[in-house]
Amino acid sequence: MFKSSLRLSVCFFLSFLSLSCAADTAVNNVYQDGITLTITNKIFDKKAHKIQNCPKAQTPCIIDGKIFYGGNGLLPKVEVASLVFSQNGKKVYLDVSSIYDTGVTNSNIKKYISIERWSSSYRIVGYLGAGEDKGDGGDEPYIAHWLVMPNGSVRNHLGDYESLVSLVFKVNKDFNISQ
Amino acid sequence: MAWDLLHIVRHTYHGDSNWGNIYIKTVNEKWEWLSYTYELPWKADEAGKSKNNISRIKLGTYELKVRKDGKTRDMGGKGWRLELQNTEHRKNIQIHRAASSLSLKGCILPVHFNTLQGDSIKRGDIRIRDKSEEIMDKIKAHLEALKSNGKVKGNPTIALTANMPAKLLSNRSYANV
Repeated sequence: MFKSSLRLSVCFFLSFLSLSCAADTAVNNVYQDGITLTITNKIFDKKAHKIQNCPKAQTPCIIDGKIFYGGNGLLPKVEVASLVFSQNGKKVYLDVSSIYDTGVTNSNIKKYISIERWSSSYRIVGYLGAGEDKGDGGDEPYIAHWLVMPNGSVRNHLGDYESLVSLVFKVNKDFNISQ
Repeated sequence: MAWDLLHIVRHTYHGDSNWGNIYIKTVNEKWEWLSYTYELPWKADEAGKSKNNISRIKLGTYELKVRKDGKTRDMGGKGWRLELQNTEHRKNIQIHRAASSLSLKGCILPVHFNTLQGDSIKRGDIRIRDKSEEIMDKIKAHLEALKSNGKVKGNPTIALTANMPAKLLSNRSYANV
């Protein structure tokens, strides 16, 4: 029993780093319309990045000149090297800057990242880093939103639920849209 | 030995109201109105226990511990906050700054308004968060002042009641009213 639990724990850790671990972490990253989404994670190497702390605090806020998500107030442990949308032999590399500690692997990717057809493009929504902050609302992930066409993509949202609601509020107010 | 710091008087206990008033103990050992509060309405399971993530916690007096782990406010985190202790099956129940979305799963949000009706304030308004952070800063300042005067020992407490207790009426400062 103990050995089994230990093995599972080790496999979970390895899968988090996108390393292979027999059948326990079978790849499951094929979506509708022949789409494959492939994530490549790597261990975050702080020496390879320029890190700046938040104003008046000893916690990191900026990595390589960008505000980042993940890490729960600490330096992240894992960075995303790439997230690739593949369809009919074409590959589109999605913008993964500022995204860390997602908890997503090629085994669990369909649980956290969804793909929907959106007119002639695809809409990809990722709920990333779930459970990084215990407490009320703390299990909420941060949200990434990409639009993808066969020849290109844009990431048009990266933030938490709060910032999304606040943006909708502002747009409604500025354009006098009543709900 | 635990000591009184905060007292919330809910508008209702078994009802749909989200609102309450929060009072804080001053260094003069009087009670002062601090702000309004926003919580989930009460939802109980068949055994009468509050439901996880969709209900406020039950009435009672709870010890508080400071939490400041996680992301800073600059990074969208909650920053300095107080976590209620011994909340039985409910975990990580805190009093913390409100998100402008007012999203919550059982915690207590100090806010500067007591209605979402009308045109005055709506979910998503950044003022909800800003004002709530100011209220949390006041709680922190009160707590530190009370601790530094050496009259208190042990953990502070928060009391949740459905009625205004006599101590809040008879031993009251009206500085913030």
